[in-house]
Amino acid sequence: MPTSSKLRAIIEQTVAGFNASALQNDQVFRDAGIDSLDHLNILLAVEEQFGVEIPDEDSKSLNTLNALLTYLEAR
Amino acid sequence: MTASNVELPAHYQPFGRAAQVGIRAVSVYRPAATIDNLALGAELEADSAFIVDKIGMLALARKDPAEDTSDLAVAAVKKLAVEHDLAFEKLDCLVLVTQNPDRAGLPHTSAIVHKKLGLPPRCAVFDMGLGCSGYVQGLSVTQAWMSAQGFAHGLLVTADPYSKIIDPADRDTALLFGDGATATWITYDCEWHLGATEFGTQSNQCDALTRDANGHLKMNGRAVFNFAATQVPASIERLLAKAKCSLDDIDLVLLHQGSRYIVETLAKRIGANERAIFAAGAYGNTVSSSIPMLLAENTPASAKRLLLCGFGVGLSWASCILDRATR
Repeated sequence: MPTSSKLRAIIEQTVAGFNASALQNDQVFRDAGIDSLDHLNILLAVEEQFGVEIPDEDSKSLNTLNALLTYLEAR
Repeated sequence: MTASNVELPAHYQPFGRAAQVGIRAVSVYRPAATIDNLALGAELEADSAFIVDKIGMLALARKDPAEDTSDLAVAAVKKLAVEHDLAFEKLDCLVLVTQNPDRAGLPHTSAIVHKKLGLPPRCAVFDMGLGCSGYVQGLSVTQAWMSAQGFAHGLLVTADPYSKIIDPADRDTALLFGDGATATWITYDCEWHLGATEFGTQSNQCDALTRDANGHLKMNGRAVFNFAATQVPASIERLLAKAKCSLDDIDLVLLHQGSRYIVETLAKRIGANERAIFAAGAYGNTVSSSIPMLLAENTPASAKRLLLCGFGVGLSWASCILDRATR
């Protein structure tokens, strides 16, 4: 079951030195200092942890915690 | 014509009876010219911190436009001959790993290399069409061929100058690749023995690294990243099982130098951390040359057991163990 805290944990494990507790739910990852490669890595970790496949056409829009959570809840 | 008229090389062994050959020496050729990757990145509006911290390449080696793939290969072989006292008349075979041949690949570029070096007629050559997994697969194929045929001296050459196919306006690829070549002498009385190997292909993603209608390299970065991040650790796990050892027994992990980020990501995923080095920052991703460059330039004398893993075009992977020979 995806939750905001699980996603924050994934982000913190994936992005070296990142404090995920300070990330706002609607804050765009790039604005928070999460670059494109970190974003790919986060999506891969999400796929692995939740057993989902995120198509390329969906990946770019999943760039906030809320967007990711809403997407996973709908799967 | 009778068999008694045929003169065999003094070192010839009957089919299948050759002692195991291995790596005696590796030499590297990189063009002197480089591109300042931070300056290039600025032109392409790429963040400089991203280039330094994630891509990791501060300079990209660039061949002269008049140089072709065969010229880089020849330069590497000549360096090997000088640095390690190799006489060309000894050579039984030469395998060239490239996917960017001279002309349109006909004749095979290794034949052009053979001509430019003046190799003996009995020296058989062919091209292997592989990218970043090419060195490890090439090692396995060349060693096996040599052992089966009783060859004593062979060369595995890597030369794949991506500057021939890079779109200079493509930010996804223009900041990654450097030109260079390596030559590996495979013979008896060697420095490294090839141990367990593990290979594979994820062909449902074969279009993730290809050339577009203009002949330019086209890369689906996400697909390539996901492939590497999932298949490389799995391959290494299978390799260690085949070798009946653990990562604790490995002194150095030589991963294909795709970028600083992929090396660091893989190092974390396999638990190798500081034993998986990133050393291509001064010259770029040299495709099949990246691993032999590490072997030649970044492997300390104290390292006894290495794990190599190349991954990329295909999408394919190739992993192996190298054990230092005890003389």
